[in-house]
Order: sequence, then C-alpha cells, then structure tokens
Amino acid sequence: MIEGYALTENVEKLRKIVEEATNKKCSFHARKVPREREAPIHLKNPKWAKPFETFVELFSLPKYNEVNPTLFIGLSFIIFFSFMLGDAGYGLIIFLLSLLAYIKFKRSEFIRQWSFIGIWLGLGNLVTGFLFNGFFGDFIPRFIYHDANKTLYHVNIAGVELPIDAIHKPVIILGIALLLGLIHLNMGFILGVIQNIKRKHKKAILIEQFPWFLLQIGGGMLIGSSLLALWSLNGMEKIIAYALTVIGLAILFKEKGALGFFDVTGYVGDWLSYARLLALGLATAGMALAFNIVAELLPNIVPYIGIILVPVILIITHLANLMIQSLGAAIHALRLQYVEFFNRFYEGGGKRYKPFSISRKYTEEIK
Amino acid sequence: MRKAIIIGLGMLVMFALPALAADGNDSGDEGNARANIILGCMFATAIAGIGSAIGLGIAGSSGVAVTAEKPELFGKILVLQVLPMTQSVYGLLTAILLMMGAGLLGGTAKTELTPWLGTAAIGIGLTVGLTGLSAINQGSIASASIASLGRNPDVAARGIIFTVMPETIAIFGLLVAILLMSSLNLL
Repeated sequence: MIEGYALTENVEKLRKIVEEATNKKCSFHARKVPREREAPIHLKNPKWAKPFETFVELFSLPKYNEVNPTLFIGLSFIIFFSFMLGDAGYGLIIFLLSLLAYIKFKRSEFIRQWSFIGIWLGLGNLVTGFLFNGFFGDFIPRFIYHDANKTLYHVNIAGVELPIDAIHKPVIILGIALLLGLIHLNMGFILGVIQNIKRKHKKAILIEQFPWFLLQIGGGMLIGSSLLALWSLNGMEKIIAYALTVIGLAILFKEKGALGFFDVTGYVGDWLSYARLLALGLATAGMALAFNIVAELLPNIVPYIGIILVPVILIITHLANLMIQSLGAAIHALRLQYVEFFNRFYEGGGKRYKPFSISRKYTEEIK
Repeated sequence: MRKAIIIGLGMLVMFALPALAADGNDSGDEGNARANIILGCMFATAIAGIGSAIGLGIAGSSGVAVTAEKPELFGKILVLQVLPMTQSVYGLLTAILLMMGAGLLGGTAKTELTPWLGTAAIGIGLTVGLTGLSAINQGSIASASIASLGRNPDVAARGIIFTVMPETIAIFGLLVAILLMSSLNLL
C-alpha cells in the first residue's frame, strides 16, 4: 500500500497515471485530508507572484487552514521598498538592469522571475523618486540648474504642490508613511477576520480583532483632538470616542488580563515603526546629496585634474549608495512584513508539499 | 574596499569642508552657535562611528574565522558584517544636514544662528550618536549569525533579519533628529 498527498485538481490525472502503470490492477482511493494539522502546504499563486513565496517560506509556510499571504506581501514589499529607496535615478538603474536580464536570460526561469520583480521595484522607485524630488539625490538641480534649492520640476495639481521636497519637508512624508502603516496593519486585522471565518471561529473575531477596530477609531479620535490638535470633537463625538475606547480596552483586558496593556503599547510601537519608511528614504536622499556636494567641491580642492575626477567619483559613490541603501530597504521592507504585519494574524508552521519525483542532477540522452 | 571609499569621503566632508567654509565672521553669538553646531556634528559622527566600528569588529572577527573554513560563504558573511555600518551612515547624514543648515558647506545659513540653536544642535548630534551605539549589539547578533552560517548556510536570510532588529533604535534616533531639525528650520 502506498499513501500520499496530491493536489485536489490533480487527483483525476494521478488516477489515470496509476491505473496505466499498473494495468488497472490496483485500487485507487482519494479522500479529503483527514487531519488538517499534518497536511503539507502548496501555495497557489499567480505566476508573477511566485518569487515572493520565498519570502513566506523564509518566515514559515502557512498552516493548512491559514490564509495565503503571498500576494499581500508582494504588493506591500514593492511599495515599501520604493518608499525606502525613493530615488528615480536609482529606480532607473534597477529598471534597466532588470529589463536587460529579463530579455537576455530567457532560459532561466529563476532569473526571469526575479528580474520581473526588479522591473516593478524600478518602476515603483521612479514614481516615488519623482514624487519626492529625488533623482540621484539633487543631481539635476545642483549640476544642471546650478541651484540646489530648486526642485526637479514644479506642478500644482488641484492645490497639491508636487514634488514634495523630501529633505526640506519631511513631516508630510512622515504622515504618508504612518498612513501606509495604518493601512498595512488593518489589512493584517482583516486577514485575521477572514482566517477566523475560514476556521469557523466566529467568536474569536470578537476577541482578537473587533476590539482593535474599536480602539483604533476611538483612540484615534481622542489622540487627534487632544494630543495632536488636528481636529476638535463636539460633545456627542467625544462621548462616542470615549465609549469606543473603553469598550475596546474592556474586551482586551478581560481576555488578556493586565497583559492587555502591553498589547496596546505593542500596537502603537508597531505602528510607529513604519516611520522608518521616511527615515530610510531620507538616508538615501541625504547620502546622495552629500556625494553630490563632494563632487561639486572637488574641482576647487584638487586643481586641474579635479574636473576629470568628478564623473568618476559620482559614479562610484552613487553605485555604492545604491547597493547599501537597496540592501537596507529590502531587509527593512521584509522586517515590516514579518514583525508588524504577521504579528496581526499569522502563525505559520506548515510543511512544504514535495511531490514524489526523481531527483537527478545530470541527464544524458541516449539515442 | 567600497566601504573604505565611503568612509574616506565622509572624513573629507567632515574635516576639510568646515575648515574651508569657516573663514571670517566667526565672532560673537553666531560664531558660538557655529562652534556648537560643529560639536553636534562631531557627536553624531563620532559616537555613532564608535558604535559601528565596534559592531563591525565583533562581526568581522567571526567572519574571518568562518571564511577560513568555508571560503565559499564570503559573500553572505560580508553582507552580515556590513550591517552594523548603517549607524555611522546615519551619523554622517545628520552631520551633513546640520552643516548644510548652518551654512558650513558654503552658502548661507537656513535660519538665524542663535546660541540657543547651537545648543539644540548638540542635542540633535547626541540623539543620533547615542542611538547609534545600537550597532554594538547588532554586531554581536551578526557575529552569532555568521557562526551559525558556518553550520548551516540556509539560515543566512533569517540571520540578516534578526541582525537588523536593533537598528530600529538608531532609525528612531535619526527620525527624532530629522523632525527636530525640520521644526528648527535647519532643513
């Protein structure tokens, strides 16, 4: 007797193969997974999202009855990476290199998949770079406009001034970063709700996710009005805000006891952690700016040959900056997924589904 | 080698340029403020630099040991070793932003240089410098990751994730410094 797992969609195919191989001298039984805990995991994703499965696997594969987070991770990885590198010039380099690899290495599935992601990362950086006024730092204003305080371009769309100058107006970008964080965290809560519905633990939603929605709305209203003075609440709104906060806290403390307090501080800490989107983006822009300053001053420091050294220094320093900062951006984009996002809903601990096959290294064709 | 170039350029910016720009009108309140801003730059780069150097040292010494046995892991180990480097990049960034704000890199100051502003700059420098000491802890995690890499090369990515955790503190320090500079009109 041979026992094993197969994908539901492949069962009929498998039956045919087994019957052919044994001349129908066998009995083939297919049934649903008896113990969901032990079933191995196969992630079903569209082809373009395949490389992101590596990121899920790095943390831990989902269990049999968990949601597949690959698509969400892929999407937010691209957005966060573009925010933390945030330079159109570097984006252009990544885009062109990936495009080249995609066209040139048609045979290697691995390179094609990753360069496809690279194309998206490059495009994302082009968008954020032009949005936040970064093209190799301040290369164009400094060397072409000869006025470092100018922006790349200047448009005014419906009262919104673009680009947002990242180095001189960081507070706006901090706001955008924290908003993105809020969306990301709530996506985690919503996935938690979906997961609980899938597992038929409807009651768990009331304890695990519901208080957080109440606390975010109520607490957000209160903090916005009293701490940050963004808006003011009238009598009725104030009562609603207090009621939501108190109910949310009550459910949390009833379930977790005094430890519920640390859940609240942990949530706030996780949320503020998204401020790194601004800090790392500024680190890229600031370092690029510093290198541009050095290159600009070089002809004054080194007489005669200084001018020739300028492009050399620019290319070396910007390549170094691109490598260091994209390494940092990628790691921190992953960290935001593993620590902040997965903390909201994900458990993991599944085993990988490895289909029965011959494993061979070299194959020789005999004619 | 690339790192050495960056450090070299950083040193150039740190020492040569303020000296070039610091000619004339260095008397009275403005001169005082300027001196204090230079102190702020010093704290940011120097303390964060100490942290990074110690961290790189801790990680690098395990790196040498492991590459002796498994030279093919050199690339992965190098990535782990340079992770504590970022803190000094943050220090350098803060120093450059401070210098630009105070007009030490040529040009005029972005805001009036009062003695109060100079003291504030020391605070900004210390924020980034002291949080940059997290590089030391990062170095010890990097060292442990490198050692475990020698046993099982598959843990490289996880080791990197663990190693960047203490960097959060330095990032918060940089964030506070940037927000302070922005509210003081130094940016």
